[in-house]
Amino acid sequence: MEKSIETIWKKGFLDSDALVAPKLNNLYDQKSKTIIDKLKRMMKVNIYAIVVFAFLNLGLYAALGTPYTGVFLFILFMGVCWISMRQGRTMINIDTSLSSYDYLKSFNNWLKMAISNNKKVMRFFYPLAFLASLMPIVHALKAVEGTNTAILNSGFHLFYGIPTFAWCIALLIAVLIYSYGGKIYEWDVNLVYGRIFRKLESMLDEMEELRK
Amino acid sequence: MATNQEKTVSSDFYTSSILPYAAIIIKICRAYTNSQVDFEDYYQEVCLQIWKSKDNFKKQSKWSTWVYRISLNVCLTLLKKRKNNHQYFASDALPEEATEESHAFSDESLNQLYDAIKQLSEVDRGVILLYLEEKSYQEIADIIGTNANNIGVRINRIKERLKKVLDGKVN
Repeated sequence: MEKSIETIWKKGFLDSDALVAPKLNNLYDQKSKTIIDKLKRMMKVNIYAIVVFAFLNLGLYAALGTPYTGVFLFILFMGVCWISMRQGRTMINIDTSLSSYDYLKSFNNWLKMAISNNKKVMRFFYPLAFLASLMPIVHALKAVEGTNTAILNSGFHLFYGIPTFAWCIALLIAVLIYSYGGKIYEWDVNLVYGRIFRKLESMLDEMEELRK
Repeated sequence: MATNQEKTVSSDFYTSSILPYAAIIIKICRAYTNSQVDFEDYYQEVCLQIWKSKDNFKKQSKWSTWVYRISLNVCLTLLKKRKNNHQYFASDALPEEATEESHAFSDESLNQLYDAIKQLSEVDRGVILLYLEEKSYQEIADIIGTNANNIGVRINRIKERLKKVLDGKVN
């Protein structure tokens, strides 16, 4: 080898043609596309996860002795999936030929509308899921002889073999869950999508600032 | 999908913060790709990642160091992704085309040097590129994320390997 690698390197790049940067597509376009694609992917994965969870519930509650609860929760979860998928279909209506700002803005508006609709549904979903998840406990209390006898001898007013006050507490909790259902849903959504939502908002803020 | 204003803004960032360092990005992307199409993809992705991570730049290092770091990280990530894809589509690999297109420079010695660099491991490629760009051992260690004490020994080993490969080509 006649020349050192350092010399080859320096000499080779003296030629100006060696370092011509390729044409770059618009960065905002890429950025918008990336963030929305990521969100769409996450939503898809979320739906699949709910379906898997719905099936797991069937097995779990059957094992716990209350298969009908599993079926009820399965229907509940599948209902949520159906609503999410229906909402996902309306996303197609967003015009992709818009500018990146308008596209992101439309997507953000769609997202807000979807969250607001989901909030209404989830206010019913959470308390129903809570009450359903109590059924194996009710079943266990009634099935185990010791606890069943203790309940029967407790002198409490019973409803369906369980003290009425316990039902009242459960109902009260369900009402509270219903009241805070919107907040719980917001927290839930924030846990999964929070980071990407903030990114989307900050990108829109940045674009709005620049448009002023 | 972009307004004129947005185009101006992104091209402003590109012109002021990326273009002055385009040479760095080109040199690194060339070392990790075998075709012009791949090179352009890698270049685009590096620019996009620099744009995305610009808010994370804390000015604890030089902007050029930041650019090096992102360029190397992006190239290594993309290479890993491609490798995984090629495991499933091994028969799709086109070595002839890749070799032909890899001769991207008019200087034949530089093409040979790049071919030799491409035979190194992914990390060694990064180390030697930074060395050739006259980065200090400390800077190389910071960018690669290793100990500066090992860098000197590593560079000597890489240079010897390159020398052997290049001598082999001459012979």
